[in-house]
Amino acid sequence: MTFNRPAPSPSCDGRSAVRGAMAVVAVLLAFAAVLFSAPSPAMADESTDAQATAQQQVAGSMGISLEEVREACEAVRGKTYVVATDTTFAPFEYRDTAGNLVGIDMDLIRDVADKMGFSVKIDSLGFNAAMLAVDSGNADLCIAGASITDERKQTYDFTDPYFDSGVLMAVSESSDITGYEDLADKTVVVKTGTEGETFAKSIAEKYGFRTVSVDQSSTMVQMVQAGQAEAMFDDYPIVAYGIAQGNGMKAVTEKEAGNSYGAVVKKGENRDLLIAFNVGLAELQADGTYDRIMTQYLGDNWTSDSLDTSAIVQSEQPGFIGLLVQSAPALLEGVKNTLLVTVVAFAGAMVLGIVFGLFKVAHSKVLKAIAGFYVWLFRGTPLLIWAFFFYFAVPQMFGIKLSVFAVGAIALALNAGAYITEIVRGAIQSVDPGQTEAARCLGCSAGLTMRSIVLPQAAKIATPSLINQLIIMVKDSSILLAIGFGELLYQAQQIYAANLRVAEVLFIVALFYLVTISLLTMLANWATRRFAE
Amino acid sequence: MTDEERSQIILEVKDVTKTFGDTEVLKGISMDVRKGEVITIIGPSGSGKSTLLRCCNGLETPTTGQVLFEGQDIATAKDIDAIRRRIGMVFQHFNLFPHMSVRENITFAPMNNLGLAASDADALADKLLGTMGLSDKGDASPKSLSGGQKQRVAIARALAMQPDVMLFDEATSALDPEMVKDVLDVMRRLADEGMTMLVVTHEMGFAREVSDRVIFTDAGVIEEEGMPDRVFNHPQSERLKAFLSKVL
Repeated sequence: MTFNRPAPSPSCDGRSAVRGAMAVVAVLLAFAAVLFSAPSPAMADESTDAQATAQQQVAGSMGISLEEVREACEAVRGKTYVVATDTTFAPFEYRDTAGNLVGIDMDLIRDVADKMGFSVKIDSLGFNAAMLAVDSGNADLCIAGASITDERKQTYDFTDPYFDSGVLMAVSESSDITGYEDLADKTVVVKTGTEGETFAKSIAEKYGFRTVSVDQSSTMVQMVQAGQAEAMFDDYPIVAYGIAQGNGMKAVTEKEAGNSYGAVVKKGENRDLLIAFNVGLAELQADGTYDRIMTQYLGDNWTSDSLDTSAIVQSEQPGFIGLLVQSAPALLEGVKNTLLVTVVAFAGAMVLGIVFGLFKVAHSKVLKAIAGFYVWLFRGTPLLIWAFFFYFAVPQMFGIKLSVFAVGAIALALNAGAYITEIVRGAIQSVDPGQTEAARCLGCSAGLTMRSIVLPQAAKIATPSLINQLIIMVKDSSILLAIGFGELLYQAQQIYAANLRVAEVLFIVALFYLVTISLLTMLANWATRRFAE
Repeated sequence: MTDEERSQIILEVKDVTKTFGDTEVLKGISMDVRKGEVITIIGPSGSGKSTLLRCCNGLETPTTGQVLFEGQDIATAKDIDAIRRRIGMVFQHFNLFPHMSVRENITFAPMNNLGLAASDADALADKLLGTMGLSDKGDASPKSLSGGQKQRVAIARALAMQPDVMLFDEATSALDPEMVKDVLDVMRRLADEGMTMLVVTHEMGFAREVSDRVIFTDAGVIEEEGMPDRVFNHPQSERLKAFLSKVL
């Protein structure tokens, strides 16, 4: 199977011409810099020579002074930057069988960091979440195969392009579709916010097909395989990689010329990092590292017009038991995170639920109204909104940055607290009023009566509902994968994004949920019996 | 009423009315309870007996009128809990605390509200259980007791606060017939010991035998009151005659 690279578009020529002119300016500037500044001893070093060349190149391409480039390179040295990325964009980022994040983007950013002397902390969040993380200041840079578009330039500053991509249609291996004209009245699946989506929508009317947008490349493949869509449009390296891994798809058309990929920082911020990335990239391109990375993920002849997927490294696929064994460590890590966030959130939700539950049965109309508002607000809004709110909006509005774990625990606690408030209120109200009367007639204060007589009995009544709520929370915590929290379902997504065995991995993860919840239920019932005695 | 008699009044009900929604349950009731007196309130169901009793310790607040405990209006009292510590109450359905042992049921209030030490409270509980004939039930759960036993524990619980007045709200109505006697015996003994008691009951024999005064309520008013002999043997009003003809 071959992929024909289209002839370079005129805009590329234009860009090259500008680059050429810039290079001349840069050389002149560099010459001036050498004349007026004494060279430091380190300049003699060979690797520093390579960097100096890269610095000049970047000063040219960005149209800034060599001095500014040097200062930026100096400024990033020794720093640690948070780099956000997608979860599932093989071969740009995905997890290998050992669970490590690998791919073109990952190798590039790590090698750039290495060259430029800074460290990176990589957060694998999903494409939209990763872009938002940069916007909200939760991450410094996002490298996730993001096409350079004018729309995105409103919000972000792009690095120099590090990959020239394109859009390619893929259909199921058994499909009769041979071109766009066969798509009439068919459904085509695309990935939200991508060039593939833009392109598909631009030709949808002409060829008479519908588009549906989803979040992940693996979801697109599954939809086509399941017959819910006839074709998908995605960036060609992703399509090529998937076909090479045997995902049951084929390409029947030539690739469409497309945008280039760039890494992004928040507009007007992290300029040093942006410049340093460009210098590092130029250096990798100069010393052959860049070519080596591309060859590793895209095959030997990735630069040629015909791209041969058979040249791409294929990972060996184990059987079902092998898959189970292989994915167990990552899934157990997911179980640990799921339980941890659930337990912390449940503790918080209990505090909220008891406080607001007591407010609900209080005589004070103000307290009743406060509790009513709380329940109304959190029972009437999805958990996901609050997770996004605390993760993306709060840092921008109040400058408070919270870890993804803290965000998950808070959102989950606020949500479950609303339900527990109602459980507590119901349990208190279902304690025989004669109990309160008896205690009050013995001269007990309202507080003592509530504490020692009503609440112990209410606790017993509420326990089954609370265990139920705890189990709901274990499952609800999977929503937190949307902000990149490494819980159980997130881990599963990571695994099937790399090996494309969605059905099997989902089956395995369902088993993990069942076992986890069964054990938790047994533990809760045991604790209840102990507590009742 | 002489001044001395007046000084003996511990509980005074003055022109009390009580309305629930559209229903006027009490329509202007006045009565008083003197120290050491045993008063039974009889009358048909729905005549307002229980509501009247519940007004006497503030479980219900009169719509109009007042209930005075030692001259202090219960509805506006600063410390209603302090007043309630001196008025014991026994309920038709016992209302024992199911999450506590029998002994804890009795010691809970004295320890928390009178500051009694645990050891003193336990000793008090065991003494009271002894007088109730339940010495072996201290560690039992209330759930394991019969109705009659439960009600005797409830009486012991109220007595542990060493109240000045005891209110009994149909204390034997929920009991199987064979258990009624045990509870009535305890109440009779309490009366003999000089406890001030206000008893709502359907046990006419008990009322006739133990009461200093009997009050007959019907349709929210006191229809007739007096010594047991007068009320039971020489009823004046037609309603009392009709009531007695049904229950005797």
